[in-house]
Amino acid sequence: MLHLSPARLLVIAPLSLLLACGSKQASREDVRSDFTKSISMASEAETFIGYVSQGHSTYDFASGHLRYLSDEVKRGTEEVSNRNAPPDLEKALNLDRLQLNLLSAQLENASHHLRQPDVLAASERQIRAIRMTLVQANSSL
Amino acid sequence: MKKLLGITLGIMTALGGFVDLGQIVFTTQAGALFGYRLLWSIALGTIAIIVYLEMCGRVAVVAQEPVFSVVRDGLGKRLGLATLIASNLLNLLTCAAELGGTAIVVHLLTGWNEHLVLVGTTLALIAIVLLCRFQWIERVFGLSGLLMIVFAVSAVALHPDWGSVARGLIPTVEATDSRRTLLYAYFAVGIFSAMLMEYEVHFYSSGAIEEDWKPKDLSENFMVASLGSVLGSLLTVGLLLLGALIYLPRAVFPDLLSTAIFAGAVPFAQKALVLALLGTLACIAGASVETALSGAYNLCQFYNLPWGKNLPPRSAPVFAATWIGMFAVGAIIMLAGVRPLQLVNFSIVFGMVVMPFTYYPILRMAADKNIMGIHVNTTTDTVLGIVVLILIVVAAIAAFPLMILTHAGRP
Repeated sequence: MLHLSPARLLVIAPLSLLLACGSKQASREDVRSDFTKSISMASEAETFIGYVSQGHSTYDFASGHLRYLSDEVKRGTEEVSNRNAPPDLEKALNLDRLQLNLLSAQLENASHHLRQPDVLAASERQIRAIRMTLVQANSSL
Repeated sequence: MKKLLGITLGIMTALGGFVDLGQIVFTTQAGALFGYRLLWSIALGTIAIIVYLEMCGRVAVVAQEPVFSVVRDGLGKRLGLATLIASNLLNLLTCAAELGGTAIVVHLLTGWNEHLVLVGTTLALIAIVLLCRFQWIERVFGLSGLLMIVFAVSAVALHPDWGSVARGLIPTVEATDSRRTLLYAYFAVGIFSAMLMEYEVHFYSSGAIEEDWKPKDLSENFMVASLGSVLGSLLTVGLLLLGALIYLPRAVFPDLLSTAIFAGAVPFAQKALVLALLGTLACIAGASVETALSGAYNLCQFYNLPWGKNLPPRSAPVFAATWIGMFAVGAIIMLAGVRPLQLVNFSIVFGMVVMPFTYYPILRMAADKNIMGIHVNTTTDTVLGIVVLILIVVAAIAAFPLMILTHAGRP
């Protein structure tokens, strides 16, 4: 019989629990969670670009935050692309991925025109449309 | 004046301890998901940390035993060594994450290259710790961290519904669906854990010895522990309110440090944003100093080696080499491309698992009349200590399963 001292248990228990986490086929809940994240990123981008267009942010903060947000959107797109989804959820995931790509393009565009309120306002409108599409798709899941 | 400045140990401990990178983002996320409903976990965590900071400060002063000597004597060599390894691994991961966070904030302030900033800030922090006496380190980081007050001001400026805020102090069960219930539990455990991170007691008890507190200073011990913690707690409440007021209505789940910082400036404009960035920088940089020094304190105290920030490095070579090594390895981890928030979220949960092994020996020694004499725990101290310890054990058992079941708090 294997005897574990409290000291060994302290090290082994968390590691075993971590190793126990494996990947599996995406459920409806997982896809909903992906949509929640995409909606969150779109909503944040919309709010922040609105704030920047009003001249409330410093240039360096706006530039840095948009880049972090853009990296986050790219990671989200990658996660959605790597999802192993059953056929009935495939269409939803494709739509999510497409909207994330559009969001990524808008963030890129905004980050190049930080001192042009008109361009930022147009980006904000485009991102609002992306968010609405995602909200609609999520509610019909 | 000296007494007033003495409070900075409590302020730096609390700000670096529970207004660090992880807590800033974690608490804003909690507000964005559950509104004011997790305020009770901040209140509970504040009481818990005051109880144990006071206790470990008292033990340090009366028995001249800092936390890791207590751990070694209380748990025995083998379990004590395992606790030392786990605690210092945790300190290293947290230090690395805080260095990464510091680089992010400096990058957001200046636009400079993030990798160069990481190297530069690490060197600057090493120089500050090397050149400044302990008292000045705590004053610089403790007092500049007070700029975080801009988050509380912003939260008040957004006119929260104070009735709902007060109701958030009463624990409620989130029972809309099982996934939300698990998320709620995960965030409750995470906030509680982040407020009780072990390095706070390591740093505080070592700081009491560094500052040469005597039994006659014990009346100040409670004041320092309480004021620092209450202040840190109010700032944490400000972050949760901002999450609830700004991000909850917009369905934003703040997953970035810059998103949390932005919340601190929303009602105002550029000046508030710069203040929010500077306050965050002070707190996160302070946390990296706290964790690096804690790693060195723990190692030297466990093996009875000379230690002390105010000793010249030649007199305490292992101590100096350890904290410098913590900074250096932390920076290397970050340069390898690890994301600071992933690291810090893991360390919050991992910290919960290790926590009982740090807090139990403190309680045992503080309640030992043979060692503590007239400064032994009162019955109230011991009962409170036991209740908090039971909560810590329950949270420690629940932490990893909750992390797995909620995919580390993903909504």
